[in-house]
Amino acid sequence: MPSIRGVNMSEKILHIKSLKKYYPVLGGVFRRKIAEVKAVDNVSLEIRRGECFGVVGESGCGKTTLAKTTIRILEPTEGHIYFNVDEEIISKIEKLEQNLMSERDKKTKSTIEAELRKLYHQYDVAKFKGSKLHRLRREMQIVYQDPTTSLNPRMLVKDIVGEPLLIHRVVEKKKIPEKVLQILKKVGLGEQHLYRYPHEFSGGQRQRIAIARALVLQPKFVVLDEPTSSVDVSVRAQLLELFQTLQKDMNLTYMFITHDLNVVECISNRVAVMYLGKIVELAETGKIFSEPLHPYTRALTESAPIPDPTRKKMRAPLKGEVPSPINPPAGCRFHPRCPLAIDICRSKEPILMDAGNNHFVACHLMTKSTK
Amino acid sequence: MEIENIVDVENLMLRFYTYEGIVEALDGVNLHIKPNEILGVVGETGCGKSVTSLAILGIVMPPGRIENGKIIINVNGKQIDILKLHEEAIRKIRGKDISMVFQEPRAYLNPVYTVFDQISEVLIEHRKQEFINRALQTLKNQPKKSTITNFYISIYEKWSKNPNSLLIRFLSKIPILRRFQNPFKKELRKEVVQLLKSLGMADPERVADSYPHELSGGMAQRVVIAMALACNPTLLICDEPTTNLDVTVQAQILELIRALRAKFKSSILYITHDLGVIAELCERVAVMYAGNVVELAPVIELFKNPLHPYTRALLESIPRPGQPFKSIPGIVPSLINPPKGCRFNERCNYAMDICYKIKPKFIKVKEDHFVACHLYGE
Repeated sequence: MPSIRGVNMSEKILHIKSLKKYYPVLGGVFRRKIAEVKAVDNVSLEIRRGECFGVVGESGCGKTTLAKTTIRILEPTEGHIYFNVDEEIISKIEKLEQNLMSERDKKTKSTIEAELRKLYHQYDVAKFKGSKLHRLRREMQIVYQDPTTSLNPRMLVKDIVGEPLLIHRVVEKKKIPEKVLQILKKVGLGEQHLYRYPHEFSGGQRQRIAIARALVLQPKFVVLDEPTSSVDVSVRAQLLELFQTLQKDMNLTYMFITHDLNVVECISNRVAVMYLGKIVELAETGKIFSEPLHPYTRALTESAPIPDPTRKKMRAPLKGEVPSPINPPAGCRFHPRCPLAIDICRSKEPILMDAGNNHFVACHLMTKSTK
Repeated sequence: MEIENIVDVENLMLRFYTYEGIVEALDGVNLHIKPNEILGVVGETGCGKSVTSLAILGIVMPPGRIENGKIIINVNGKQIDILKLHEEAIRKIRGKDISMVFQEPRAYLNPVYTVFDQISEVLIEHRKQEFINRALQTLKNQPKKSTITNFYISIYEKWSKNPNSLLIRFLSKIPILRRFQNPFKKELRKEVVQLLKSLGMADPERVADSYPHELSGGMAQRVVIAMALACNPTLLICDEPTTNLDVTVQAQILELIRALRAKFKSSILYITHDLGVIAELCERVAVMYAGNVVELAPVIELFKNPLHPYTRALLESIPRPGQPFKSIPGIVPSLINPPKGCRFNERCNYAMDICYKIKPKFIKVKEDHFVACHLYGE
């Protein structure tokens, strides 16, 4: 069985199918919807059990929205998310969907629809409600970017970390302090920190508290939303180390969102590069950095500063800035900034295609050359 | 004879008197900046990078107080000690000979004035006379002179003799009559547009008329840089100008700073915590830790041959693919009760007895390589 850095390649924990998240832009006298911000537009991906899946991109490209929609903090506009579902069931759903598309007869169509609705209700995270959603939260957790704002300043550490246990009633009330201490020790804090407020901690320690809160329910899937961007270099290394040890100890699957390419290169198994709500390239980390296929990925890796003064780079920085997602450019969304744009890029949108060896890329130039 | 330094900071001590106690923010900082170079200052949060730059500009606010030291600035061949000047005299230097680009451009720009208003404010403050003369020149060069033009010329002649004359100030308060300022404003606008154009803006006319909220982060940062460069300063201080920007925009700004240095012949003090940026941009680097400059060396020398244990640890803590993460054990000490002796002693792998007793001196180890550590020297 093929594996990268000890991750089983075949077993998938999360399937995202053509996920969309649009935000309405309200305006006019009656606050009608006048436009839409396509924050996440038709994203499909699969995350394998036990891997660290990196998502990179500039600010406003929809990284965080993708993650939040995946764990259902946000309601998706369209699309399906299957979490921890057997492959068989997913293929069954896919088959039914195909049948529905090809079926002409109205009666059989409605029976297929009913069956599908039932399956969606049972397995599709995007359609979960109420107690099912509540139970899902035990499995999927998130660590936010800035621990100063994500921790309640008026709660003690023991209450912050203990609250998820209280809400989900996974252990008896009496046993909560014991559990809290256990997880705090795991993230490198101790008994002396239990009765303190968040403001008494340094940035790195605060982030550890946030990590402890996310992991206290023993989730299977954790979203790390730029967890290292607000801390110093020396602390960053400590946190990254912690993430790796925790992943091994608790069998976690990560979705690691960052704009720091240096970090993503070191921690993740596979990386998806996002641009204006779309995935433009998806491959194993080594491949993304050694042989980037999409011009945007190339520009991104080139513009990241390298901490080595002897390597003076010859580069032309990417011109312009990310266009507004309300009116994304027609065709390939990157074409106004792309140095290699050709005519087809201005009219037709490229699809994410396999360019060999599970290296997916959405670019007209690539699909041409491989053909 | 050596080339004179643009700025010489000697043994700068700065304290903040807070309710929790006295914060010894800077404890004997030594720095020097050579003409036309980019000096990088790198260090963790709270190590005193920004405070040092504020002290050079002379804008340390209470409860901060400069206790000791010298900041000597070389302005047009004259040596001036900033700490001995009074406020009025510093105002003349600040913005003209030394200017600063701050971290958050949105917070630094005034949201209720247009970009033109804000850049021209700097020009009016420091280069008023120049623009009055320019306006006078264009008025005189007009082929056909109407009565109004002749009236303007007489006003401008008075104005150029005394830029702060009471009569002119009075005139500029009266409606209709205050239109005499229009030629002056036209000259300012020309300069502002020129300035914005030199910073690589595609549409300088539009940018000049827009308000800060209409600009993107990268554009706003360019406007702030334009403001700082308006008077062609000898020293430009950049305090983490790219921290909140995307990598592609950061690359643009870094490229811009490099090009501007060649064009304006300014020295640049570049403050950052990103070692990647340091490696790309700077010629010499000062590493700061807990209110001290611990090492000062040319950039290649520093990355190849770091001497101070902290510098070494800092360089090792950069994540590299395929290698285990190395971090610096412990945390930055509180500056209210800093450790005695060397402030890095508790986290240092090479700490000796002397490190807990005596503060190491900032000594020259090699040509252009300074370090403050007991491991080196006698």
